Amino acid sequence: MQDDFENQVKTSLDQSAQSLDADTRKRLADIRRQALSTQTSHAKPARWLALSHWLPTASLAFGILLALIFIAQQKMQGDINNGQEQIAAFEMLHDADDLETVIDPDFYLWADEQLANENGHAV
Amino acid sequence: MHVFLAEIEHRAFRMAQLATGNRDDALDIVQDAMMKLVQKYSAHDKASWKPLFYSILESRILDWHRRQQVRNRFRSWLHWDADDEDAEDALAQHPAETSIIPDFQLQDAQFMQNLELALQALPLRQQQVFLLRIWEGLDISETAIAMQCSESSVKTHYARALEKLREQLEGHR
Repeated sequence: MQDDFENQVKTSLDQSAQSLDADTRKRLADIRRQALSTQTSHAKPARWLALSHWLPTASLAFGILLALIFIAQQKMQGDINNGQEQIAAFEMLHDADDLETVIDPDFYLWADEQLANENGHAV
Repeated sequence: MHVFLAEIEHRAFRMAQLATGNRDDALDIVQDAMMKLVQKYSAHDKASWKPLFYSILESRILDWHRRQQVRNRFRSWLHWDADDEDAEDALAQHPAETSIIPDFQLQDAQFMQNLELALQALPLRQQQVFLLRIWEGLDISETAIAMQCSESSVKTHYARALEKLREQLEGHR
């Protein structure tokens, strides 16, 4: 509850606020409009942030990525196979008995004979 | 938000002007407060806008006073003739009475002039609490939120401010 003095103070202050000069009023209105314009720009997300804007590009990029992964996998599989053959050859050279067998011409004659027999059985 | 800002902008400006004694600085302070309210708190409940807005405004006014203190300290270090300069600035910055109260009765104009001087002579916190309570109509808890202090501090500041103003404006009653 305000007494007379407080009411008198309030009335005087109200009058001083209502009697602002035109330039100050205009400046305040401009400030208000400027502040409210920042609210509008915050409320609406930027166009470049919209999902629909990025969807076609993202789909294309995803497709390319899948293709690259597929190609890389194929290449890696080939490399693994080559690697296994190289390891087998290395192990054969490393083992002295195997090396002796490999350089013996009789071994190839025997191997040829074995293959011929297998093919003969198969037929 | 538009209606809210339009409703309070004149009072907010006068509060800032009384606190700073400078029209342009007061406009800058009001601008900062409006921008921050709109950008950070427009999604809040409408009922909370007023204490939030005045909390920002009071904070900006306090920042302004801190900056002024630093400037004054530099001036004193540099041995500037601060007295003359301040007196000149104060006269230049003081709003022309005709711009604020063009058509008042002489008695009202004198009361307003003395009230303004008495308000400016109050310590900043007392001045702000007084204006928020008596003019803006914030209750004690809202004022405490706006001033970021306790409710008992609000009561103390208000009582002291009222007492000083009564003393200084006794002749007008």
